[in-house]
Amino acid sequence: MKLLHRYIFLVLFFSCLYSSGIQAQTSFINPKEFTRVLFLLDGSQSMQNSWDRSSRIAEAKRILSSIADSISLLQNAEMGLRIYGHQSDQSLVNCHDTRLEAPFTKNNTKIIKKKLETLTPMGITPIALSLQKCANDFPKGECRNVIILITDGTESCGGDPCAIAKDLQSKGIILKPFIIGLGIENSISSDLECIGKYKNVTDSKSFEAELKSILNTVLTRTTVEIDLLDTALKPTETSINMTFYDVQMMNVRYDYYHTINVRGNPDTLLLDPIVKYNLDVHTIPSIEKNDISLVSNFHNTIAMNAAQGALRLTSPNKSGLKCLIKKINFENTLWVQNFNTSEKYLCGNYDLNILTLPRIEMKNIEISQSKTTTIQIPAAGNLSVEKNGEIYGGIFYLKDNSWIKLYEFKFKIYLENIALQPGNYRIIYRNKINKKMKETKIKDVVIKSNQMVAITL
Amino acid sequence: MKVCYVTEWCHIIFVFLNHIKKIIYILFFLSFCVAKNVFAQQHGSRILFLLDASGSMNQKMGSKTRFEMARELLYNLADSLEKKKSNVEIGVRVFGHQYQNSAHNCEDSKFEIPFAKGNSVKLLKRLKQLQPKGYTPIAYSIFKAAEQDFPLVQSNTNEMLNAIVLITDGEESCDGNPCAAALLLEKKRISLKPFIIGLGLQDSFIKKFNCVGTYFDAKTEDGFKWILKSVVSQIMGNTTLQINLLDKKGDPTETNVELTINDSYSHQLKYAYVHSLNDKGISDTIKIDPIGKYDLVIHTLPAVIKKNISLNPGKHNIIAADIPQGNLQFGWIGNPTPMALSQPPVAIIRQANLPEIINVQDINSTNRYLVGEYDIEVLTIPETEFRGFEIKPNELKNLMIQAAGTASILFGEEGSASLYTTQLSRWKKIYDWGNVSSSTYEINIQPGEYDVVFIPKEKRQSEYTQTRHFKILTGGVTRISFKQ
Repeated sequence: MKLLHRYIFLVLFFSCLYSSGIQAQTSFINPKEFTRVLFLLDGSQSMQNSWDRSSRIAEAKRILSSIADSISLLQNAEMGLRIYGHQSDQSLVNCHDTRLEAPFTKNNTKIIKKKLETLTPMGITPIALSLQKCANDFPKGECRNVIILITDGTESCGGDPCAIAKDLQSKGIILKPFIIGLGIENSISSDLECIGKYKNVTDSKSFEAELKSILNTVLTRTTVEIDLLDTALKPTETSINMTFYDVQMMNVRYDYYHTINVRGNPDTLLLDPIVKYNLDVHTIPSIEKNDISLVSNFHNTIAMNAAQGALRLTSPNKSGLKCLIKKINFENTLWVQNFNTSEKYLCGNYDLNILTLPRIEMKNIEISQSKTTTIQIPAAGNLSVEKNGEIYGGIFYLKDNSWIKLYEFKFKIYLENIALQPGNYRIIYRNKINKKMKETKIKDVVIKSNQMVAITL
Repeated sequence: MKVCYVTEWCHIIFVFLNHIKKIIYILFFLSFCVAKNVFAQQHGSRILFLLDASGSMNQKMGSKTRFEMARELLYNLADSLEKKKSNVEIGVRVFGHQYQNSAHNCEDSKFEIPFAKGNSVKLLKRLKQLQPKGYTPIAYSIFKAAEQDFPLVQSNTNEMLNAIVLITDGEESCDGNPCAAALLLEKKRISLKPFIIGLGLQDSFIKKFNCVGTYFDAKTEDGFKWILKSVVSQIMGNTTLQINLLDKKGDPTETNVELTINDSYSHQLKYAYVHSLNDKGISDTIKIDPIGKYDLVIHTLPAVIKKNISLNPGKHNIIAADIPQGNLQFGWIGNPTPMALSQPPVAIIRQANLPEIINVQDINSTNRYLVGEYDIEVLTIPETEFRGFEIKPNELKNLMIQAAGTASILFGEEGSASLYTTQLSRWKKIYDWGNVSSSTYEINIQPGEYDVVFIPKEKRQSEYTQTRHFKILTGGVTRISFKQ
């Protein structure tokens, strides 16, 4: 059978992708990549209508049977079957006529096929209720749950299938459903369009083609390449973590470090093409791209400007000295970098504020492509202050013609050790017991790198 | 006991008379050359007047000539000083009086009257014999005065106050450079604090004295009196200043804060104090030089600055500044892990919506801040931010952060790793190890849930990326392993 061949081909393609990427990690199957496909099949009276020298139900039976065979060959997919309108005659107007005929299990092909064989359409069309029940048809656990609704009519029991579909999606139970209409009139198609991805077919050939396309989308992962461009717009930037969010679910769908593969190209990622993505590339600052739609069966390339350079901060001291980094013209601290480390930043200009005493402010430091900008500060010296009594006062330094207080002595601590950058400082202080301002004393100290100056106040 | 840190300083007062369209311009240029204690009791002072006797001084200024006016001013100054201070010695150097204009003599300058006590009458008598006639070698005269007239100022014998008062009507006419003369004084460890007093002086003239002078207005007789009073007050040291630091209610109860007082013009630091309240709880009074304008910086957090303060010479001056303060205590809630304790976070304090950092406060410390709102960034991982944190008058506000826990992460092999927190459903990088080795890494993190992402080195496929979700509790160590 031609169709079966195609599915086998699909399976092979799929396992190829797997074996190439995951050899080293034998047990690696992301539960998010396990797919459960639930066919929701119309068993109402009208399915008996003739179609292409056959009938709608006969064509549906034939095609679904072969699909059941194909899916049984897949390691990462299962199929289930729910039918509605097939138990009570339409004259009974049974709006509860819906049943899970083949639950999800590993080897349910026979059950599915047998059920299809014996199926006789007779009833009405309770789509909303059936969708509602679908929610419990999927076993618990993280998995991609897909509903494919095959129907030749719209809701006939007054339910609101669209609201239910939306609710199930927002609860994370199912992905956006697929709906195949069999000869649905245009005038009522909007009733089905709102449930999910809707397509009407008018003959069995296009029915087959549409089902194949849906399964292709659902069961293959589409290839995606993220090109992180340097200033020359070449995709050479790499080793950056990237987070892909499912726009609808608002959760993290994938997280990958960007790599360059053996061929020197950005590595190909296999992503689920059904969902829309937001992407964060965790450079500093991070860059984002929102509402990314992927084209199935196509190598998608997403290019982003991520030109980076490095900033190296060095100090002869080993202490946990930090530097606040801010993009120029922005108010907020972008990143806090420790001294004696090197970090990458997007190319551009940054303001630095080094938390030494006194603080060292550096404006407009340029980070440029593939270059390392090095900021070196001199070793600090130490000022040891011994206090005879309770002292009010602090350490001052001259900056732009004014004296700035950079340190206030801790009032009831009698010995303080203060790391200061090399330079000239002035200590202005008064003992608490001296009540006159003129008893204020001044001491000038010169601090040199790696030297300790001891003073007594 | 030292009163003021200024080791040596010096003012030149330069009295300058001019009469253009009946406007009087006065240039005071007084130099006090004092070693150390400016306002301690001086055992003796020397005041040298530099008097302009150039040809232009013959011009009439009302009923008198400029020279007569200058003589009068000089006599009045000398007389006032002698009356107020018994041990003041006065001397006079005159220039432009020995040679006619036609002689173009630029070295016409002579130390006419040596320093002596009770000199004023004698001085007036001698001055009456002089006839203005020649050039105006101002710079040369300052130079000579500094070099020859004063005995050597020794920095340790600091009880002597030396001053130069220059009275002139005009511009340097000998291409001398008053700035260079000023520089010489500075080199002799004497700093200048000159004043130019006048109105509508030619710009070029003012500029020439820019390096040494501050400009003053004195177009009326009151101007003269002010100058007279200022000079005398400065020499006598009887101008006082009280700085009231007001709390929220407007009461002067705030204290124990450092004050620096700069010359508004030169920006040089003139006084530095730690404010105090005396036994009666009143702001302590300091003596201050009344000449010139000052910028007062009150070193609260943030600093409060009062610019261009003018003083009333010979009087008690009161300046008030609102510096209501409150206390900010920065601490931990709960007990951090020992490792978090050894790497305590700091709080970066900024005034609300302003970019400048005004303080970096250590954990478990308390600092005073002006009443108001602050934006505070605590450098924890991830950062803890407080916006619009309010400091209230005389209250102790607590800035508390959850004590950190520690994540102990075993990567098991070399690779790259980074750490994420979730903000508005998206991951935000909060730490990046860059390249890691196979050993265990410890990092202090605030309580919460995080994701750490790792990819082994030399794997050229992103599929090898691994993620671990973990939870941090205050004081707890969470162990994470990427080892298979």
